[in-house]
Amino acid sequence: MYIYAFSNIIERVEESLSDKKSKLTQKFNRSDNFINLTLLGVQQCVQKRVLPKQTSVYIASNNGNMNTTIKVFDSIFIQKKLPMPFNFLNTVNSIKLFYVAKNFDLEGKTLFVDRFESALPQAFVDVKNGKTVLIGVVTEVISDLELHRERFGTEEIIESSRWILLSATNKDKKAIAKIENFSLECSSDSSKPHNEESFFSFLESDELSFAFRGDGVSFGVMK
Amino acid sequence: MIYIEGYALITSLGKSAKTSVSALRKENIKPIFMDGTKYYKISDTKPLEYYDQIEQVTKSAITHANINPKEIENMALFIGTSSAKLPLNEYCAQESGELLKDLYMSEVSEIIAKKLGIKGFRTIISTACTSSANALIQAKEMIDSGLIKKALVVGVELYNQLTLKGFDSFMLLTKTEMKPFDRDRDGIVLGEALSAVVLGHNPSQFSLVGGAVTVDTFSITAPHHNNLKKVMSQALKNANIQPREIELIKAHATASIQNDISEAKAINLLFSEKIPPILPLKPYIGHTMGACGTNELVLLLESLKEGFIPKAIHFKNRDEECALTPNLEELEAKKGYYLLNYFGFGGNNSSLVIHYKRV
Repeated sequence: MYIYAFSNIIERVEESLSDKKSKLTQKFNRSDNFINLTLLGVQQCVQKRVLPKQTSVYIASNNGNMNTTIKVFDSIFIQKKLPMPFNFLNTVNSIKLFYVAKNFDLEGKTLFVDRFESALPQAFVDVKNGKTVLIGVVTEVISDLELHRERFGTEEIIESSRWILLSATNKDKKAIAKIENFSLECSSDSSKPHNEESFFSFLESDELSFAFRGDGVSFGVMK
Repeated sequence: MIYIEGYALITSLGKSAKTSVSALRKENIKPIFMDGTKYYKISDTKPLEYYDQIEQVTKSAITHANINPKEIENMALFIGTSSAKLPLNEYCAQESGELLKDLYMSEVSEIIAKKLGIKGFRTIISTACTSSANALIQAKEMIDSGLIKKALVVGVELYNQLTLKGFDSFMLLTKTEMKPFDRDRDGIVLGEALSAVVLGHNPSQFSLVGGAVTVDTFSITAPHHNNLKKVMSQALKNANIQPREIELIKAHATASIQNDISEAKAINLLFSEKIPPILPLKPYIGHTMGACGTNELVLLLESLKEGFIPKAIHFKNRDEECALTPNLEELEAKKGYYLLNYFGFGGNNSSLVIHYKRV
């Protein structure tokens, strides 16, 4: 399994969330901050490549688009009225996949999952079956930064959109790294540190090899 | 071959697959009103029993599959849900005014894995109405690849206002009853239900022989018939069978105007030689969103096991635009292939093919 491209967007939020829409090559009227963050990451990863139509897409995010969910909760529980239809729609996780597919004219499998370690083995199977795969890990920040600090117990507030493009072969010799010895470990010990962050840092670095050992998943990466 | 080794179900009809199907056969359907809207509610449940209910249905499925503790430990866990922890968050919002307690989805699989003693791979799949159908397909593909040997696939959708009010905001809810493919259909009744399915290599009457997931970017809220035809074709191809071999189609059949037209057109196109009986199951338990994949599968499996195919209810007048009449009489269960359709917001479409070997 080969890594063809990656992106590693990390934004430290100090006062307010950044404008992402203006940086997108294809803009969508009803997209929210999470969707724009997703598209920004995938756009930077794919760049001008034309993806095969059957490319699989995995978005991993444990909290999804919190800002829109808060808006919808506010309509329902505070204002006691129906949410705006497209606010509700943006809380539905498959909607984020729709925008990625629409942006890149895709027709294949699209899945929204909870975390990077759960997307990887599923993507591994798709690649084994000859598919090109895009995997993204997207983390949004609550625009009310005080609320974000309170909920997540952290002072450093970071939005991120990290993507990799995987393929089964390296026919054109343009792959940037190879993933090997992929295996699942029989352990669901959630106290193990997730290290998607270090995985993407490795891709950006000059280092030549990396051993990924996340929550139940392990593999090696060679540049 | 990937077999369905065991299953369990909790619906508004009953707290097991057997009682649910028994109530279905008697048309003992009991939607109630929640926040002024018709809804299929599981009796005697509270939001804080969220994990207890998942534990109950998963343990029942494991018992049904008769698997040993070592197999349980190594088993993979796939949870398909659209709303995930929304019911718990809404409880906090109502009780304390906290608008966002904690959406962290992995907690659902972490807690359930711990309660069951599962130490294998686990994932949450959240793709609206196709969530648990996609979980079944992913589990099958991972078993086929040799990466895992056995999987517990769970569909969970419990009452939450966000989904109910969201559908209401799109004017998708009916005030009467769900009448899929009927000329006078006017929308959906939502419901809560959960189910669990064990997939593995131990032979049983039922096998999951094929499946496909595709994305349709025609519209964010309504599928295009050509794309629905495509996902059904891919599932049949994946199962290595022809349309004429399908005994029955469990339709997605939401009773919304546009979705039913698209599904009916797609079925008419793909099954132009001969249309098999069409079964909508949502009028019995409501549209159970992300859990409808496993819920409707288990309802069908248990009905087949009981020797019958349910009839479509609430259908009165044929819609010439759909040009499809669902199965209006109970039929005898037949061995063979069954196609199950699931289509979701965001153009996420899935079809499954199962095989039933009559004993």
